[in-house]
Order: sequence, then C-alpha cells, then structure tokens
Amino acid sequence: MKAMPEKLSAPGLPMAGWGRRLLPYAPVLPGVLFLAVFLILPLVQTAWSSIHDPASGRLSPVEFVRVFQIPAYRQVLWNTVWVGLWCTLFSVGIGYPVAFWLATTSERTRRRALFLIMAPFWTSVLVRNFTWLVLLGRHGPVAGFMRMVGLHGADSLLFNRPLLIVAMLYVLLPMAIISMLPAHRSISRQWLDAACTMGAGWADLFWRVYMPLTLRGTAAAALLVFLSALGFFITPMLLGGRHDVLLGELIILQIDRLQNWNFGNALAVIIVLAGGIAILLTNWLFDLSGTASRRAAVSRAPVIHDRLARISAVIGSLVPRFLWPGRHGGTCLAVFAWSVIAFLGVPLLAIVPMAFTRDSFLVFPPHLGTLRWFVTYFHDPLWISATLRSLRIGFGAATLAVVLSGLAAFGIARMKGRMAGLGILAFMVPLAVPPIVIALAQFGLFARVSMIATDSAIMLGHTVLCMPIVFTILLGGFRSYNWQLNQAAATLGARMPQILGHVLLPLLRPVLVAGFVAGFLTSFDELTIALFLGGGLKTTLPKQMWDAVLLEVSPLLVAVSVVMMLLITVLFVIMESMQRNRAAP
Amino acid sequence: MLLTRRAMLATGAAGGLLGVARRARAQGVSHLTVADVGAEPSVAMRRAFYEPFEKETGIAITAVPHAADPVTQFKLMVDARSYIWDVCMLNSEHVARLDREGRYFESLNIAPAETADFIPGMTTDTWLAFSVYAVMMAWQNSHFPQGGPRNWPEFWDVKRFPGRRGLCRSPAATMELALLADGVPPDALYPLDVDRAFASLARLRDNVAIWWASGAQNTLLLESDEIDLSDTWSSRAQAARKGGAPITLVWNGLYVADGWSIPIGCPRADIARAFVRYCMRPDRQAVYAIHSTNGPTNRRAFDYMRPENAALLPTSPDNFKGLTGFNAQWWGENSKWVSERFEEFLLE
Repeated sequence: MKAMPEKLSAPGLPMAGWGRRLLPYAPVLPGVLFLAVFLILPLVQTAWSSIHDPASGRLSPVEFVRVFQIPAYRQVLWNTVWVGLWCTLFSVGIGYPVAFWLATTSERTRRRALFLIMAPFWTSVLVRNFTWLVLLGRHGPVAGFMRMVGLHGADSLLFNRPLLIVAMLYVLLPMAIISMLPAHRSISRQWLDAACTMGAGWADLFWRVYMPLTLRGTAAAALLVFLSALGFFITPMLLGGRHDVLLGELIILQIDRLQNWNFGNALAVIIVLAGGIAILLTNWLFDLSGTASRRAAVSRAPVIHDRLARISAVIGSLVPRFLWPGRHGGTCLAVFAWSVIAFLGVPLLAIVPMAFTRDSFLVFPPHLGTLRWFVTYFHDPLWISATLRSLRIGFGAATLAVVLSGLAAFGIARMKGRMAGLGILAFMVPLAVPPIVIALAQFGLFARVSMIATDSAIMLGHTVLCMPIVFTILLGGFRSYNWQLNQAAATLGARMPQILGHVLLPLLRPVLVAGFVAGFLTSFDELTIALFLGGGLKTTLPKQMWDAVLLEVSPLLVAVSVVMMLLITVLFVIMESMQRNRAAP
Repeated sequence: MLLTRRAMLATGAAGGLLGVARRARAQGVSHLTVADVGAEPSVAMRRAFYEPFEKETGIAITAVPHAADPVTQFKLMVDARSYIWDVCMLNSEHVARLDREGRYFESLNIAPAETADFIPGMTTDTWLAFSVYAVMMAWQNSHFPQGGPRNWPEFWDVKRFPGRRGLCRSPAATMELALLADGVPPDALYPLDVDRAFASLARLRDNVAIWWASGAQNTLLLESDEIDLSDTWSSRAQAARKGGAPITLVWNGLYVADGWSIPIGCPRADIARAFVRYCMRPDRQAVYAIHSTNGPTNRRAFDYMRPENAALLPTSPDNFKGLTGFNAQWWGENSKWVSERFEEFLLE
C-alpha cells in the first residue's frame, strides 16, 4: 500500500511535495482535532488536578501512592481488572462462534438474529438491572424453578460476582459479536473453497485459515470489551455483593459524594493508563494497526500469527475425531447461536409483560391487563420531550461520529507503521476513560463557553463516546475493502468523487449503517454525560429514567423502556430495508 | 383595631407576595428554575408550592431534578457562574459539605421570629428546611408473625431475630444505627465514636445479605420480599406499604431534613428568596407532607391535616419521639475519611 497516496493523487491533482506527503493524514485530522478539543484538553486538566494540590500549589504524586498503599483500593483495582478479564474471556469465547454463524448464515437470518442480539442495548440499563432483581430474587421465577427441580442455592442468586459478570455480559457480549462480525464477513468464501480444493479438512480450514484471518478482529473485540468493562458502575452497584466494588464506582464515590477531586482524578488517570496498556499490548500482540503483515520480512507479528496458527493446528489435531463437527456442524452451530440469542432475549421477554402490570411495583409474573403506564407516559410532557431530545441528540451524535471516524478510518486504513497505530490509539482513548470522568472534564470545558444545559453540549459529549465503537466498526470495513477497486475505477477514468460515490460508499454502506446504529444506540442509552452536561435542564430519556429511579422503580419505567425498544426496532427496520438491495461484498 | 396574629401574618404574607410580583416585574423576572429531587416528591412540591406560587405571583416555576448527590453540580454551577438553578433542594449534609468548600449560598434574610413555630435546627441563614424524612427500620410481617425487632440492638440480634438483612451501603446514618445498636444513648451519639461504630458493624457484617445502594433498590427489595428486615427511608417504606407490601415500620432511628438554598450570585436571588419564604407557610407544608409522606418542619402544618395523615409523618409528635437529629455538621467535617474507611470495611 506504500504507493497508494501517489496513485490516488495521480488523476490530475498537482500537489506540492510536502502537500503530497501530508495528504494521507488530512482525513484523520478533523476527528483527531475534535477529540483533542473535547476529550484530551479537558482530560489534561483532570490529570493536572490529580497531581496538583490547589491549596499549596505544589505538585505531588501522593494520591497515586495512596491507591497502592491502601489494601482496599488495591483490592478494587484488582477486582476491576479481574472482572474485566472474565468478561472479555466469556464475551469473546461465546461471541466468536456466534459471529462465525452470523457471517455464514443467510442474509435474512442474519438480519433477524442481529436484531435480537442487540436487544440488551435497547433496554435501559436501569430497567434491565432492576429486572434482574425481580427475576433472580428468592421469590422470583428462576428461584421457583430451581426449587421445583430440587437445585440448591435458589436463595442466593443475587449479589455475587458470577451474577455480576453475567449481567455485564448482557451488554458486552453483543458488543463483542457486533465488533467481530465484520472480520468474519470479510473472509471470502472463495478462499475457503480454495483451501478445500487443496485438501484442507474442517479442522485445517478453521484453525489454519479461518482463525488466523479473524484473529485481528477478535483481538479488537476483546480489547473493546475489556476497555468497556473497566468503566462499569451501575451494574456492580445494584447487583454486586459487598466485595464487588469496581473502579468506576469508586470514582463516583470519590468525586460525586466526597468531593475528593484529586483522588478521584488519580483513579481516573489509573483507569486511563490501564486501558492504554491493554491497547498497546493488544496492538503489539495482534497487530491491530494492520501494517506488519504487509511487510512480512521486517515484522515480528506474522511470526506470532504463524505460531498461533501452528498451536491452533496442534490443538485441532488433539481434538478427537468424533468431536469434529463434520456434517452436523452447521446444525450444532445454529443451535448454539440461537441459545445465546435466547439468553440475551430473556430480560426482554420479562420486561415486556411487566409494562402491562396492574401492580404498582415490579413483580414477576405480573398481573396483566392495563395500559395505564403507557397512557401515563404519552400524556406526560416531561417524558415526551425527553424522548424527542434523546432522538435528536442520538441522530446528531451518530451522524457526527460517522463522518469524523469515517474520514479517519478511510485515512488510517491506508496508513502504515507507527502512524496508523497512533491514529487507532487516539480514537480508542474515549473508551478507556469512564464516562463520569469525561463528563466532569467536559463540564469544565463547556462551562467556560456557557454551553452547559444545551443539547449541543450533550451531543458533542456523546459524539466523543460514540467515536471508538463507530471507528472500530468503520475501520474494520475500510480494512476489508479492496483498495484496488479504486485503482481499477481510476484506470477506467473515474475521478475521486465518482470513486467515492459509485464504488467506495455503496460497497461500504452496510458498515456505515452499522456504525451509525452503534453510535445512535450509544447515545440513546447514555446517562452520565447527559446528567452533567444537561445541567438538570436538558433532560434526555435515560436521565429522566434515572431521576424516576432514584426513589422508586415503577412499571412506568418499564413501559418507557418498551416504547424505547419499539422505537429502535422501527429505526432498525428502516435502516435494514435501506441495506437490502446493496451489492454483495 | 385588633388583629389576630394569624390574620396579621396572612395579610403580611399576601402583601409580601403582591410586592414580589411587582418586584419581579421591575427586575424583568418572569420565572424561576427550581432544582429538586424529582420523582414523586417533585409532584407533591408542584401541588403544594409551585402551582399556588405561580397562581399568586404570576411567576412561573420550572422544576428540574438534580443528581442524587447535587453537591458536585451545585459547586460547578457556582464556580462557573452559570446560574441554571435559582433555588436548589439540598439536605443539611449537602449544605455542610458545600460550606466547607467556601461561600456558596445567598443569605435568605429570614428573621428568627418568623420560624418560631419550626422544629429547632430547621433553618440557618442560608438554608430553610421544609421536608423531613427518617432513617428507620422496616420488617416483613410474614417473617415475624410474633413481631420483629423494635429497636437497633434487637436488629443486631441475629439469634433472636434471624432473617435476611439489608443495610445501606453508605456510612452516613448507618454509623449512627450501629452505635445505637451498641447501646449508645441517642443524645450521646455525636461526635460519633467511629471505632466503636465499626466494631459494632463488624459484628453484623456477615449477616447482612444485601448492602443496598439506592432508594429504589431498597423499595423494590421490600416490595418483592427479598429481604426480611432492613433500614429504610420513611417515605420509601410508606410507598412500599401503600403499594401493598405487608411491612411494619419502626419509628426508631434518625431524621434528616431537606430544604431550599439559593446559589450565591444568582441574578434572581430576590425573587428566589420570596419563593423560599412562601414554602414556610404551614398550609402549603401540610399539602406537601400529605402527598409526599415527608414530615413538615413548621409544626403548625399539623393543624391543616387529619390525624391519619399525620400518623404517617416523621415529624408528628408520636413518631418524632423515637428519632434523633442527623448531625450534618459532623458529617460535613468527617465524611471523607469515614467514607473511605467504610469502603475498606466493606471490602475486607
């Protein structure tokens, strides 16, 4: 790809020497600038205040020392990393076969399955967590079933670490599947056919061809899951036991309750560092920046790939022959995938009926037979205006994120070496920072320009949050894009706008739509930023739910959640129908 | 001409409100933004305070809910001088914490004589309480058919009263309950003997099945019979009972007050003061208390309600006997290190 920039500018674009060198970086610039202003600048201030004591005006690392000195905080750090790793392991382990199945199944099935897989995203995080409390309580349906079949432990399903991890998986597993999917789909059937023609068995095909080809996508998904897991706080707060305190919770406690800004900021810096280490490590191991494999001779990454492939092959040969999926493999896989989807759909099944309950609080099974919670919702101007605001902000943030990260992914996908790695790192930074820290840092920024309590502030804040996931999805798409198509089009006389409009964008449309949906959903369910930047005046839907949940969780919330689901379903269907007549990749 | 005290107060109040409308016009103020806790109490406040005030003065009130702990928002708002709120609902602990950070409140200019009917400790120069809730005990009737614990030493007695316990995952008030359980007399609670409180908590720690983290969670746990006995907030427990949960409330514990404060430098402070003053009225407080099940701070409010309503409220004389004032001052000074130790204690 080294020759790419020259080739691109070849059709009649005269450029000065340095301009030509800088051209590949130009598309990355808007996104990087955006992040610099709305994330890095406020964060630098945060980092500064973690070592700067305003009273004495001196700099000292005393807050950092404290984190490592006090056993309880070391414990929290360890908890966070440990829970994050377990979540990563399960998300990727369970998500991989599902992504494989999704990539190989028919277009129709894939659409339907994806729709269900994303279901957990569509229910408010609060409603979902409260549903767990109802479903897994000692008088809940699960406990009842366990007693019926004579299983022990029905009384203690809640408030422990395994449950916490399961609850977190509900968000992280779909995230893993969705971010792995592009890698799986980018594998051409013909390569597999070619391998088959050359005598590869199922095991060879998978371990030596398919697995190495998807390794990078899988690693990226694992990274995404791990980084997201670092910032959880609502779920551990509501569902964890007393030992399951994670760093995110501790930051909320320190900043929001104790006004311990220095210490809170220090904890935030530690999360950022932990995320950074994870990113660098993954990049080093799996070459996420995607440059090394093209320059095999000078890179160590292919060696690692080879080794992994060889180990894979050895593992593959160790699996007894009767376990080989063979002819029934497809069926087994489909059964597995559908059970995962069913697992993800369970809270949905419980939530929907609870919206029609006659009780004034959440019980399962509910006493059905009223629409009054929906009526209340539709007649309450507060709820309606919050819903409309969330929609507006979601669309704005997703659009901005797709444009900025689309440009950047376009640039970075064709970059090489360290610059590409740096570019990716830059777009991953928002993920490594818990939303509460971003929110607080941005509050300072927006307060200075009197933008607190404006929709634009929330939208810009959300755009920062959307950026990593949108970027990851788009980068995957741009990576799998065959750039020679552009050259081919150029050879046939197409100019850059034509190439974009007729070749590149139509081919990448599924990816762009996926990025947009992911960005919209991120914004639509986001609470912390809306909480701070809305200043209590601009209330988004999750914020309105949070306010309602502070004192009591009523079926009204569930009804709102169901309306949210319907709304997103409609959007999803519209977007899917847009995709239907696209060109095959 | 003889005027009764009440008539004089009434004319005074009316005259004051007319004056407010005039002043508001002169200052170009047509509405106030009030930050409250949202949800049900906000509905009660609209009925009791916002709507009548709008009617009587023509000044519109926009109520916005603030964060669970509004101190950070409040501090940032004043520091950034972006006055998105004119009046803010804060509890005494929030006020104490903000007072430690610097000057954050406008003076309310309320003379001591005006609050003669108030429960002591409900007003300061910058804060006026209008709502009182209790940190108290609740247990499931079905689990304790012979009757459950009547006080905190009995709550701690896991042999006599076995059952699944819940306790609040925050040191404020929980430390006090631990000391009461250890036999400290209510009037000798403060300054808290923190070591003794942790020792007392340590005895119960492994018997606490659920450390609840939010009011909604506590209510749901009581409603769904997930816990047999727990500490709770009075209005939340009343809501659970109203929803049909068969629980008994024990009026033994602490009371905490919520009130209004005005951010310093607020351009509409003059009109905001008039609103705060309006919330002192006993008839308004009575309406609020009936609908929120939070206690009024003006004792004359009980003249405006039926006994069965008063019986549910923390500040009605019978219930108030068993409650001790939560010392926000002490917590304002000590919450940082105690909270830290509490976190360590939970993780041990």
